[in-house]
Amino acid sequence: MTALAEQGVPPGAPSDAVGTDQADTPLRRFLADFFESRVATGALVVLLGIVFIAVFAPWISPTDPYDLATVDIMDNRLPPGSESYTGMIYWLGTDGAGRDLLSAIFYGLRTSLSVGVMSGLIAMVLGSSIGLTAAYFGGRTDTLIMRVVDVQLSFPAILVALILLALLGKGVDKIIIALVAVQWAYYARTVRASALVERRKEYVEAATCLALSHRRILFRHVLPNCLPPLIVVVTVQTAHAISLEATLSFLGIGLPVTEPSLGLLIANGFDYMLSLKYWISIFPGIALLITIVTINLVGDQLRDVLNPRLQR
Amino acid sequence: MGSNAPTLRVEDLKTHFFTKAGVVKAVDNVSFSVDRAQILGLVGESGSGKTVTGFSILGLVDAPGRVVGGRIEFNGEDIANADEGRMQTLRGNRIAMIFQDPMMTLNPVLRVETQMMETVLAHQKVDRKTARQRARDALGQVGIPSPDERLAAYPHQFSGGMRQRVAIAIALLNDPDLIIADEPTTALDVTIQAQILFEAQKLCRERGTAMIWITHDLAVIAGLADKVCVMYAGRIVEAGAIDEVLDHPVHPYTRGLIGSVPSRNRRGVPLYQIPGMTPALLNLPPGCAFRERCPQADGACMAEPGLSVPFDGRAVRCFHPHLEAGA
Amino acid sequence: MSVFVIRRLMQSIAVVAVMSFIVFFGIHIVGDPVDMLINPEADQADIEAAMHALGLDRPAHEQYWYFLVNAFKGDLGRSFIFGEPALQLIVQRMPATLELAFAALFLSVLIGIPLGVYSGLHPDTLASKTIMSGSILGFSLPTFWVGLMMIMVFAVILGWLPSTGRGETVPLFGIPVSFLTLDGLSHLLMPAVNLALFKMSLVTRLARAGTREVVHQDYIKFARAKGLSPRRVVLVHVLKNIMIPVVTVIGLEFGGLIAFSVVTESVFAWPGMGKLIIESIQNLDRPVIVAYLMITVLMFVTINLVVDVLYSVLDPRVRLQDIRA
Repeated sequence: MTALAEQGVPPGAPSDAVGTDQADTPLRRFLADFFESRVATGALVVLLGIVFIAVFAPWISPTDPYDLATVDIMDNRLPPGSESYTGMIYWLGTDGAGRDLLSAIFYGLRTSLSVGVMSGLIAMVLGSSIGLTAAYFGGRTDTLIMRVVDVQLSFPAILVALILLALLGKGVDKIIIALVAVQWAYYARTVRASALVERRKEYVEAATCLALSHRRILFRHVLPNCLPPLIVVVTVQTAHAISLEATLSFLGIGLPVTEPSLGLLIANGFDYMLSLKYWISIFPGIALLITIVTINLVGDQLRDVLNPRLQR
Repeated sequence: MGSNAPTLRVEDLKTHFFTKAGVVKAVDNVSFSVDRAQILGLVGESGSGKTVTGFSILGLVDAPGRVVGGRIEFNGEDIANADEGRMQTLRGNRIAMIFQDPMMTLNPVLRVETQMMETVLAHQKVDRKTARQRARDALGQVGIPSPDERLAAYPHQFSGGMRQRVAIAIALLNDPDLIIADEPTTALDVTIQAQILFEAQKLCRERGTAMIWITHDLAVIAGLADKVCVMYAGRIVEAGAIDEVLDHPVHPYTRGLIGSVPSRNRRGVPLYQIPGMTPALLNLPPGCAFRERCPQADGACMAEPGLSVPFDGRAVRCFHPHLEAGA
Repeated sequence: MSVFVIRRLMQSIAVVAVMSFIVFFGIHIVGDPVDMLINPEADQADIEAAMHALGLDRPAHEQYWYFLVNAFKGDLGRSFIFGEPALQLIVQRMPATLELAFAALFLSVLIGIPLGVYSGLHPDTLASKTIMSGSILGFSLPTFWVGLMMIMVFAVILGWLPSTGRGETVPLFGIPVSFLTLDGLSHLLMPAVNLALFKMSLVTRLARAGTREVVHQDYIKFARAKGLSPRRVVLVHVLKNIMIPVVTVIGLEFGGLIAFSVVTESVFAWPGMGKLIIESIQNLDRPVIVAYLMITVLMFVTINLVVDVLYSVLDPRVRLQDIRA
């Protein structure tokens, strides 16, 4: 146990430390508080549905939109509800290449969500570690780190992403790097702020007196108590990352055409919009919208529910 | 005691606040009148409804509060139910109000000049030059040195006492018939307090302005007011000429208040303290509101006492008024 | 005070230096500088001549120095696509972007403040709740998608407004602007609204929060007790107080408008810097990319510096804090 902790517990893990340290009641109370809002409950259900679609897209999509054998160019730009000559119904129509739009959206959600969540997780781990370091060591380390955070945050997200993508080029890995670069400073700032509060409390002093290692104190003791604000930032930043990725892909500087996210689908439909073939652009847009809005609604409710807990 | 037509006559005024938790009867059946050149002291602890009474007269009670009954006769006109337009022409013009905290009553981002001139321009058809002239004169009247320079200043460039003088100058701008002063000296130093009291009294006498001086401090109005109304839990419990009430209070609450003023006590004798706390006005129990803290309370006090006249010139709301002479 | 300005200035210079370093070495690490800085269609002799002219045959630190010296002279290379100096291309397109950004700023204030003040004065009405829900949408909807929807509704279906370009421009002090002609204005409207949406939501929320705080202040009740009209109480006494935080935030967010105009310009084919950089990234027109990045970073650092200094002039507490630090 100790050896394991000494090796460094990943910052994502201590969530179960909260579960074991405290009885089930706070969790249950938290859930009860959360489900008090009907809007948030509804948003959570929709969001879970979206996540389900994203995870199981290859199995639940009517067709594989990127399998050239099943895509018929003759079926291109069919309006919603049209029937292919094989008798299949395109519920949301087809795009410029004759792909079933519903399937393309399912796959697009998969790409958009995985890029958003992946970048969010990496940024959280990176940003939280940096924030913890700043708070724990204080002094010059803290000043230097927070200066960098301030300077970074004074630049708008899109400009930072633009600089990086202009230098790095297209690609899934590149866009994740760009999104992480945009987000990490928020995590660092949030974690530092709550860690500073925690650091002054007696239990950290007690842990220091027990001569526990820095890493153990940080990850096993301080970090779990920074979780509530962190959870809120995670939701907000993930929505933000998904939106930013869609924007960059729409602009043609994000994901390559081989990894079509929702932003790319919307961009593809843009050209047809002027000829009133609205569905190619609108349906992926609505999928994107629902994703972002539900995440934000869930995040809002989390903020409301977690805030009084912080003060308690 | 003044002429037959009072400047202001308030009759059975009721101002209630309709909160989610219940109805708060902040002002309940309050009656009094003020004549020209007369100063009425309205005394009570915080939460007794004296400020709300002032706001009710101006029609400035904000939601969830509302004047729900009674008459407010100003120069013979009932303004309790007057429309907003009418009230707007009266406010700051015929009826002016001075607030408690001078640090909060002036808008921090507007020049004193702007805040004074707008008061003139809102009510009188004069040009800006005349308005500015009046603002300057008013500052001079309340004893602000070099008013010309001070006009262009912002409130934060004034001290607390100076700000209250500015607020008083604003109240005087349109030569009102009635000034409601809501604890205007509470936040000030004692020396400045005395100056302001003196000036207020002088102005009132010189101009024939009626004045309601709201305070929690009997000592303040002792040398200032002509008559006094003591409020407790939204009701007037005792009213009469100031000297008589101070010399011979009949309501147990008034007696307690006077007993707790140091100057009225003999040296060496501990100050009297009214036991208990001001009752919460929300869902006030029936009967006399003071009975829980009253040394005289008995079974009779479970009923609500009406306003009675134990002798000429005095009204009291108590079943057991202290009527022996030489108290 | 001057200590603060000097410190802030040093920090800005440091940021610009770091950014020039990142951009310069980014190009050298990520790709072959010959590819990036020399027209790929040039023949071997040209390449060698160009390499020598650009100093590419020298060590990296010398090249960086060379890059900096040239940048100071205003030479950031020539565009592969246009064959013109990159800096000139960007400066030519700057007025269009600035016009769009200012129009958006103007709209977000003009619409955001009244909406915010209204919902702050009457927080429980249906209209206020609608405004607040709208501002949540304004925060979460991706700008580019809203732009597409606007084009579809107002340009394609209703045909009221043109969907692309700047329209007719007239010179104002020698700078071409759209807002002075009816045609230009009709072209400007949709992109400006699109770019403004996010900031409008922000301004609405700020104005609402400010109003809700201010209306309960004694000085507002005192203003009413003076017999002022509700109009004057709101327009002068309330508004003037909420303008301080709103103006501060607007100043800080102006840079954001310029950055986000990249999206709006691409959607509405607005011929500004943002559209140019996206096209340059797609066409790998590296000199223009480098020039854009350097110019934008410089612009940003300048805006932040000016806002910070102005803020410290306005708020004495900031100055004190800095002296103590």
